[in-house]
Amino acid sequence: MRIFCLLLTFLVSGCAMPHFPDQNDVATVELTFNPEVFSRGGKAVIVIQEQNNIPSGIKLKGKLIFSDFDGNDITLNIDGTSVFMLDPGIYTLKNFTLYGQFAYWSTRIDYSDRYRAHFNIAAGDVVYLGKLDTKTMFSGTKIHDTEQNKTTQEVITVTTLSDQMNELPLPFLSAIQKQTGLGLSPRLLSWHDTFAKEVEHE
Amino acid sequence: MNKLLVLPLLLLVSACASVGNSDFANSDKARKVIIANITSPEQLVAEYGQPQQIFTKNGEQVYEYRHISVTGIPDGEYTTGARHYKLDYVYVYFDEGILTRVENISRHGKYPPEDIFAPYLKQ
Repeated sequence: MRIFCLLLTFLVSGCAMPHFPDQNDVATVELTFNPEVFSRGGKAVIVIQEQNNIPSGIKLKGKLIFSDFDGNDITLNIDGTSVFMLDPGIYTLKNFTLYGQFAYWSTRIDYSDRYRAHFNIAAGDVVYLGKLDTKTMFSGTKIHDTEQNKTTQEVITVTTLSDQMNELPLPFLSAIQKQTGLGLSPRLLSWHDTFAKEVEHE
Repeated sequence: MNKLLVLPLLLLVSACASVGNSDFANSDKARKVIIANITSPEQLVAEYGQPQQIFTKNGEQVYEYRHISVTGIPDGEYTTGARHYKLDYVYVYFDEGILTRVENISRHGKYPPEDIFAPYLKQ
């Protein structure tokens, strides 16, 4: 009986092993560009970039969760320049995070309350949504704690959206053209920083 | 004893994730059934529910259904239980409310699916 329990424990612990798929894996398959599916129609292709200079022991990547018109969520895990195949529609940003994971360690910065965004696409669109660039800045004030002999300085980050399409590698643009039959055209994501607006009104 | 059976069953269920209408998990079979039994959009929706989307192509209305799954259960060429995916799409074409043709796509492969643009983006 003990051996049986041990085996059961081993099996149950296997649930947390990476080879057990979840809905994110299914979404990854659904969002991966498939030329055969795209050629049938009813799909759009988006290209989006993310970069950040946040000092972190673990490299941080971008994750955007959008809600579609019916309230369904789509999660875009962006690693540098990423290509996704979507159904046409209007997508509204629900969550923006920068995250990193290495073995059992993870880092996550949640910007959900700060940024608003949306985009809309039609069937057959092949569009470039822009580059999300998160920069770290230090505030001017340094605070020195004499008791602990520590100096701290507030860090703020700002994510801006820019059109860096001309920096995309030509072979990549050619591959997009070849696979979709269309050239990539810019149609920037609508991106709004609520914090920046507050600062402007100070 | 029943409790002991439930656990392995739960494990099997957790080893598979899917989205879409399971009627289309075998899209080739679904295509043949639709060709044999369906003539109108109303009949199609009554039988299979709302499609994932409806779009127009070359003047015809296309009803798209899909089923996508990722599993870690050993199967076919994936005997080790490594994660693999299967995607099935069924497209039902109607011209002025009359079924003209049905097409399907069925593909499977090792998870994650190949990103064909990745080689052009490597730094």
